[in-house]
Amino acid sequence: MKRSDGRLSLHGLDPGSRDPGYWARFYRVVMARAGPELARRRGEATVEMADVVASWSRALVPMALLAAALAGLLLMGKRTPGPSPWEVVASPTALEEALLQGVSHGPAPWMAVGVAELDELAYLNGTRR
Amino acid sequence: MIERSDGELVAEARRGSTEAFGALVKRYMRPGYLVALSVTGSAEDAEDVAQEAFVVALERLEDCRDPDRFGGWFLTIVRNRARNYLRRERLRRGEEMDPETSKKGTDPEGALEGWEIRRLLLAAMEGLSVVRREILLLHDLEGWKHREIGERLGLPDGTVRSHLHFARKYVRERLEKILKSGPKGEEP
Repeated sequence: MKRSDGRLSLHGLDPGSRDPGYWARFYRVVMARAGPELARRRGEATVEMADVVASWSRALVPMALLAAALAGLLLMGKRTPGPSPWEVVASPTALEEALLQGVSHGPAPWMAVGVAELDELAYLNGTRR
Repeated sequence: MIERSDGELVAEARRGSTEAFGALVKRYMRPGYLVALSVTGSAEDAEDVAQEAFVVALERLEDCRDPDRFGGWFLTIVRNRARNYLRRERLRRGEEMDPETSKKGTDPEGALEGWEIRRLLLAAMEGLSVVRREILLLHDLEGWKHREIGERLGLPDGTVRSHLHFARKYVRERLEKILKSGPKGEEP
């Protein structure tokens, strides 16, 4: 029972030493018993992925619907006689139209400032003369 | 092929990978069995306990706080379940555990037969503390190094060496006694 390196020969306690198929059977029994738990875990992992997608869709779909509804309302409610000063500034075609037809909402603030500055310039020019 | 760490296998097993859990079973089925054998002293009980411990470990895999140390965690489950198993058995029988080894006399003539050798070795280890039995089996039968045993049982290297030394000495002396007379004696 004693080996040269001091180890005891305990192979008699290894069931595999008497029965070569022992550990393969042991493995199969454990894996068979673990099968339902492994399947449950795989299912849970799939559900977790689906949950992520579902949670995104739960947040995104209502927001998209709300945005679409708001855009629709804005488009429907836009029945003003002419473009606002800001729209005039933003769009070259609107600017052209505004020049032809006049701005419905009064001058934009920067335009007002511009006029005042022009007046000051005219005043200065007048005083120099 | 690079051997995957316990941590990697545990992470995959948590997601239900049969292959990863199978690798853990292959890695720890023999040590698990030997630890169970150290506690129960019975091959049949050790088999049941070790197999059950794997299923329990899988169910509680989230409790394994350091997956890289799965081995130590798993062997603790085996040890605890083996102790509970013994307690249940004692309560069920209403008597002190009387291992098969001490029930039957040892026949030195038939000691070469596998079953007899097993009986003889178990009898020789009887009276040895569980930790010494574990260390002896994990080192001399499973081939783990002192460091590996220390890491998995949570013991310093020196303690492992010391336990191993005493365990071998005890088993040798017991074997000699048993072969001369019969199974008697206590751990010094």
